[in-house]
Amino acid sequence: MTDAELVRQVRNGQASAYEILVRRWSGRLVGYVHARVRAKDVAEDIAQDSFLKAYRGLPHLADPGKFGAWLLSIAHRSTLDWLKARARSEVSLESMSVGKESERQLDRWYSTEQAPDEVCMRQEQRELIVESIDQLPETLRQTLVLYYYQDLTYQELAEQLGVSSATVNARLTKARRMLRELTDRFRSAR
Amino acid sequence: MSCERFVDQMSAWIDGELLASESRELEHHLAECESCAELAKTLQGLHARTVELFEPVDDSVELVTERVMNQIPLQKLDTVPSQQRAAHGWLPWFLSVATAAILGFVLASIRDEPASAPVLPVGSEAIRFADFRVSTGPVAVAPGDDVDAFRTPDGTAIDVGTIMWTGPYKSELMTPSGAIIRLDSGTRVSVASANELVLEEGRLWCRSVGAGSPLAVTSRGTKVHVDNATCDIQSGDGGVELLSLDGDVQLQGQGWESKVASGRKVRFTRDGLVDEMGISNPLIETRWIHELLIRKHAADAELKERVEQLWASIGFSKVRYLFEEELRAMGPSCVLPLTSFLASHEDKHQNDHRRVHAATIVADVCDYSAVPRLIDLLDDRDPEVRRQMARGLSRVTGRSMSGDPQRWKTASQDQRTGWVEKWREWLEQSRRFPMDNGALKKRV
Repeated sequence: MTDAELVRQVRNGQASAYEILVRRWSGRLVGYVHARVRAKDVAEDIAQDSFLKAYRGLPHLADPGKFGAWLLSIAHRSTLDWLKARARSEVSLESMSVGKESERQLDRWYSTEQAPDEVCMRQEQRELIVESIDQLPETLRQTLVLYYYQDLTYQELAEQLGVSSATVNARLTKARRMLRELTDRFRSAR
Repeated sequence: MSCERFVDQMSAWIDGELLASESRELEHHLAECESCAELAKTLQGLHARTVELFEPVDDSVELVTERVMNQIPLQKLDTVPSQQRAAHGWLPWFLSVATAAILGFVLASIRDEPASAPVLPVGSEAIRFADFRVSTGPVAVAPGDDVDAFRTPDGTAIDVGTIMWTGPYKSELMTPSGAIIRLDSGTRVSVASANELVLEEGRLWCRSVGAGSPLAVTSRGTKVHVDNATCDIQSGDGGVELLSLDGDVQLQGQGWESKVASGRKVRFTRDGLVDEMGISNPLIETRWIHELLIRKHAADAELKERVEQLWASIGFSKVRYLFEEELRAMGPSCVLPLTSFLASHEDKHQNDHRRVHAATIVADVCDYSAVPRLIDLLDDRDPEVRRQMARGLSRVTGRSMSGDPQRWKTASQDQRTGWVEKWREWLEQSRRFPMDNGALKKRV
């Protein structure tokens, strides 16, 4: 059953249809949020909250077939809110004469598991990519994120975005080129 | 074909979107062009890491699904816009208004009977009181009066009508307005309204911040109004003890009222204030909340402030052992603020004895996560601080770059610099290479 059909069922009062949608999208949603907040329990909480917001807001979803992308936008905003709230409550280590480099190191040590092997190196690369994705222009960021999040073909994504597949190709090409430049820049700055 | 055209095709090639003939042509070019091959390799690596970033977390599916579906019966779909409402008819609107009226009547009628949790009419909308933030273990949360329904609060929402029993655990809640409520072990509370709790037994700490979002806690027939204030309330056999920690707290009993200013501790019963009590120190009086604070992020502002207050009190109190005891009980959670204190030693008038004391505590309680900070402090100007940092590193890592940590007190600057470099190299390598029985094993 498609997302659109399930959304219509939920709107018609069949709350149980929502369970199928939750099962279908929760793994990916938790994965997307986890990449940013780096704490699985927080990612699960944000995912849960996003699903509930989405449920309440279903009557406002103009195209039921775009449930996944819409859900992602809700989770993205909730993740940003959480990151901002965390930043506000964090100690200003600069006031204690500790540099930014130590702060980054500290954050890494306190928030990630200490795997003393190349998993740590990959983790660092993923962090650089997360930082870089957030720096992309919005159109490119959205296209890139939706592409990886939904695992669609260029044609399917093009239909969803209302553009041609050539445009999707151009956007992904440009986004990856910028990612390469940004990750190199962030790596040098660390 | 020029490289530029192949470069433009790389993204589609990585995603499997090229025609077979186009792929072959590109791959042929990559076999001959070193720079394009290098670029393709970089983009493939980026692609692989990005795929990992978006990998589904399948083992979260069941948990998230269960939590969401448990909450669905309490959720309500948003109201459709009015022009659509007309198409659906007036009945849904009428029912929602009628339900709200019934709910309002029920809540109004139970306002003077705080001892029992209100029973909501069937089908009425749940009113949110607060959300769980952190607990030291599973507390019992049950709707209505059925406290045999012990369960971990899977959903985070605490709605009006809920009863909570903490048992041996402690919990922290936050209301939508940002008020924080902490429940001690052995505490039973019920939620009377969107901003009122009934403390039936046990102890709670609460902070209401900002104007316009007051909190009320009712105990033994007396309402404690907490408005832009912080207090600790404990219900016992002899009455209710209230410690006002910050801001003024208003008491409203049956036929009496009283204001409790910041820093005062009183005991009251249903009939009025019965005792003004002396307090030892607010930090010690409320140390029961530490078990919740240490569960927060290491850089949490309140945790940092509490550690700093305890640390400051060690220097100025005759019963300093109590504060040190509490500080040490916080374990690794106190390391970040204490090492920040040590790192901010630019003030030459800072008491060396206190710095050594801080270093000793850090060395005793730190865990592996503090290793980078300890290494940074090996450069400290104080020999004893250096020795303590080396001792801490040795304790948590099982290694020593200098032999006896005592050598950090007497070694030359050059020697110490060499040892620090060795620690930094070890740290860097330990994050890249697997360990094989304690020896570094280089990956090929």
